Amino acid sequence: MTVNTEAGLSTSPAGSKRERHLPGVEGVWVFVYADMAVFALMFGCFMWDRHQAPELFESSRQALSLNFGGVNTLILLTSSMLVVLGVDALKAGRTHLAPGFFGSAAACGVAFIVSKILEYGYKFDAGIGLTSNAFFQYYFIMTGLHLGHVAVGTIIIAVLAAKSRSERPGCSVALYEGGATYWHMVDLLWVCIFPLLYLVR
Amino acid sequence: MDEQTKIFYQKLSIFMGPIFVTTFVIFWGWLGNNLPPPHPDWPAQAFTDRYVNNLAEIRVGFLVALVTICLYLPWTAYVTTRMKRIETGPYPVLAYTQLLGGCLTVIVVSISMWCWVVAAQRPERMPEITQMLTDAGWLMNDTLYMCTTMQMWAMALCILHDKKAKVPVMPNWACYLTIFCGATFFPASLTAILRDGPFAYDGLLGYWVPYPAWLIWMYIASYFLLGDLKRRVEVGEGEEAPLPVASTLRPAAAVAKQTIS
Repeated sequence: MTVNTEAGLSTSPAGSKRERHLPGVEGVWVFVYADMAVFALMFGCFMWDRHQAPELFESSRQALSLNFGGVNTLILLTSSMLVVLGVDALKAGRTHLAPGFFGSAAACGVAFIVSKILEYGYKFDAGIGLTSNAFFQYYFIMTGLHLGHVAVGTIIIAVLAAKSRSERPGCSVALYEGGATYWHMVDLLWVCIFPLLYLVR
Repeated sequence: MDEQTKIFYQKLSIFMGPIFVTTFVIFWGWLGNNLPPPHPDWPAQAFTDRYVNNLAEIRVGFLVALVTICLYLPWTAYVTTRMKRIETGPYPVLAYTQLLGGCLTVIVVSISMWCWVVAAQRPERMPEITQMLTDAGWLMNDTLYMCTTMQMWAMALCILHDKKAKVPVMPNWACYLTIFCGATFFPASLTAILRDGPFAYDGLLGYWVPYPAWLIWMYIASYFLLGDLKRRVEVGEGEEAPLPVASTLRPAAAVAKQTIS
C-alpha cells in the first residue's frame, strides 16, 4: 500500500496553461503549516515569559552549550541538502544515487538524536531538569518536541532511502517530495529554536 | 431492513458526531465551567469554591455530557464500517484500530467527567480531596489521549490509501489535518508534570490547542462523511462490481481463446 498521491496533486486539464507544481501532496503542506503554527505559539509563549523575567532567562541561557547547538544546526542543514540532492537525483533519472543521499540524510538524523541525548545527559549531570526553572522548562519541551519530530523524520527518510533503491528513471517523486518537505520543516524549526534558546541575549 | 432505512441510520450515525461536539461544548465546556478550566496551581480551597459556587451548573453539565458522550459510539461505528469497505478482506486492522480508539475515547472522557461528578456530589468534604478529584479527571484526559490519536490516525491512513475510489471519503488535506489534530495532544502529557504556564492543564498547549483541534476535526470529518454518503447513495460505491478485474482478465482470456483455436 502506498499513500494516494494522485488525489492531492493539482489536476490541470490537458492543454491548459501548466500550473505551478506543488511539491509532494497538498496535505503535507497543511500539516506543515499547522505544525509550524503550534511551534509559533510556543515561541510566542517563550518570548512572553522571557519578557517577564529577562535576568533569569539570560543567566540560564548561558548554561546551554553553544557547541552542541552549533553542531546540531550543521547536522540538520547538511541532511536537508542531502535530501534535496536525493530528490534531484530521482527527478534527473540518476536513481542509483538517491539511496545514498537519503541514507546519509537519515544517518544525520540519527547523529542529531545521539548528540541531543548527550546534551541532555550533561544537563542532567549538572542537576538541571525540566522543572529547574521557566527557561529550562521551555528548553526541554521545545527541544524535546523538536527531537520527536526529528525521530519521526529520520524514520520517514530511512523508509524513503529503502524505497528509492527500487526506483526507475521517470518514477513519481511526490512521496519523496512530501518526506523532504517535512524534513525541511524539521530543519526550519531548529533554525528558529537554536537562536531563540541558545543565542538571543 | 430496507435500503432507505439503512441509509437513514447511516446518516443518523454521522450526524451524531456534530451533535456530540455541540452538546460537549455546551454541557462539558460551558455549564461544566471548563471555559476556562480551573487552574492547577490554585490552592485546594479554590477548587471547593468552584464547585460550591456553581454546583447546579456543574452537576447538570457533566451528567448530561456523560450521556451525550455516547453519541460518539454510532459515529465511530459508521466510520468503522465505511473503512471496512476500503480495507476489504478479512483483516481490516485499521478499521478495528479506529473502532477500539473510538470506544476507548468514550471511556477515557467519561471517566474524567465521572471524577468531577464525584467531586460535585459531596463538595463540603476536605478541599484537598476535591482538588485531587479535579486533577485526576484532567489527567485522565490529558495522559490517555493516545486512544483518540490512534483512532484519528487509523482513519486518516485508511482513507489516504484508498486507491479504488474516484473521489476519496476525505480530501488529501483533510486526512493530513486529521493526523495533525491527533498529534496536537502529545504536549498534553506534560500536564502531569507542570502546573503553570502553557503546558498546564488549563494552558495554551495543554488545553486550548488540543481540545478544539479534536472537536473541529470531528466537524470536518463529519462534513466529508456526509458528502461521501450522498455520493455513495447517488452514484454507488463502484468497488462492489468487480469491473477492473473483469476488464483486465477479458483481453487475456480472448488471447488464450485465440491461441487455443
